[in-house]
Amino acid sequence: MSNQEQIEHVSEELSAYLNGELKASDSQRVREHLLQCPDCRQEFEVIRVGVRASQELPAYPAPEGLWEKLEEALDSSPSADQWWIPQRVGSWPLWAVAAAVMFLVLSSSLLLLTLSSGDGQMVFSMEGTPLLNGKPVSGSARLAVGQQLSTDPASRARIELDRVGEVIVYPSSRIRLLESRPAKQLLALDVGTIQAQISAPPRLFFVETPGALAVDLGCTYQLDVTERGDGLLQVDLGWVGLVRQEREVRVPEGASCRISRERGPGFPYLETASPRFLETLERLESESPSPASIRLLLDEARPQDGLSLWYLLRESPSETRSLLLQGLQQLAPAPDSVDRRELEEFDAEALLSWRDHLEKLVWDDAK
Amino acid sequence: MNEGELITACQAGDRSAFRMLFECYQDRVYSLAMNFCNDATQAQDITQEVFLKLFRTIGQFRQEASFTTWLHRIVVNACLNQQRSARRWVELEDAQPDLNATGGGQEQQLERRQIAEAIGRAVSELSPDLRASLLLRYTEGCSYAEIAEALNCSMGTVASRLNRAHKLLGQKLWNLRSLVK
Repeated sequence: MSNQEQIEHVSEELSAYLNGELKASDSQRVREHLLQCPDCRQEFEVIRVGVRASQELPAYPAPEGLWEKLEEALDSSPSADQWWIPQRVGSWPLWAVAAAVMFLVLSSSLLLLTLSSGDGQMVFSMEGTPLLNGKPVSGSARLAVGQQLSTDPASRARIELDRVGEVIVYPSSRIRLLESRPAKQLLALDVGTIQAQISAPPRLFFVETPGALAVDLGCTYQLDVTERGDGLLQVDLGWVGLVRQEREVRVPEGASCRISRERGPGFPYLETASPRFLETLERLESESPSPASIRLLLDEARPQDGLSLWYLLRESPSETRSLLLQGLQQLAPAPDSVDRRELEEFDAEALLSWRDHLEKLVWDDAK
Repeated sequence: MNEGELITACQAGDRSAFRMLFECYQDRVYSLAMNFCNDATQAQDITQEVFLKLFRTIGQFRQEASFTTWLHRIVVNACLNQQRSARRWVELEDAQPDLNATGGGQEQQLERRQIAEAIGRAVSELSPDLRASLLLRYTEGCSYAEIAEALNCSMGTVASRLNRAHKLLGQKLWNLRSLVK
């Protein structure tokens, strides 16, 4: 029996995984399988496009005049049993009819409010007095789409995201709820710190910062944004994607990534790397690498730092690219399944397979 | 007045209550129908048919059941009846995506409206069973259990239909993947 046949593939579970319908243990199994199975990963990408397209299905408001047409049909329908005609209304006093009508008008407003109150999320004050659109929150309140929640140096709040997870808003922070629907929860973090603990499937929870959009890929993480608009992401569990225009950086468990207001996400890194490695890497987020800086990084790097170098490689100019490619191949070689020639030709699929392997090294380091 | 009291008023023959029920649900019914058949005239016909049916049978509704599930069942049946007479869907069997396709300049210029139209067309080409599961999930936000109840099938069937529907849509819309956020 071949290895392929022994593996229990997860292709039949991918939609349920993306829709959050799997138990936590099954979600974990699917996630881990995807890391090592290119076939299921390819299927996952196709299904994800299908899921995203489905999430874009519009809501159509009913056109005007439907009730009038319906009433016409009701009135002309001989089989309608005329059930709606109040049988004793003729004998009711006028005040009783008027009161009933008034009751129905008032209660219809209440019902419409009740049925449409799905928007927004509950906020709970944890310490001090957070402000919701400038008004103090004592206990709990509903954060509606478009509203702002802010904390001062002495207050802290928790947002419960229905079926998604929770977000702790630390002191001196300001967030806004931009979208809230089953398929997408979008917050904006203008300044301060939040910690997100997300149990929903990937790509349902998003946080907009001035430098990049943080996309939950199934994780727990902390996100800081300074007054200037720069940020720092630290991932405790799972992965987080940082997206700016066409550029996406995937930050795995145990890694951190700076976010520049002007340039977007930097390179993911492990705090445990050597100080010289970290210092050089940070410098190269804003300037082009020289052969000397590449050699310094390669000297200082451990295999688990290979992921930082992979992102640097992706953006390296041609003068330093082959030096970095060779160094990275020695430090943390791509798996045998990846064709070396394709790597040298900078083939996108081959590079992504290599990145998956490097992420596993980071993952193992975090464990 | 909560939903239960409103339904009781409808069952007692209160036309104002029925109007309120219509006001509460007309957008959801129309939206489901519109996404199902991708045709405004048919969607209006389906919406009218659904509320006529509701009006005729609300006396049989038992309040221990979920009204929304009952309504979903009526809407899906009305949509399926409409499609049975039209039979215009084409299942996208074995349409393998070109995973190397880059999207191309022309697709890059597609406006959101055109993307929405492409999605609407792709959905309308799914078989009715797949479409019903997909729309209950995404336009109504139903769980797998709620879809299973509305469609009178098992949760496993719902999972399998949704997986198939997503895959077919993903294959059909693969070239638009960078535009489908």
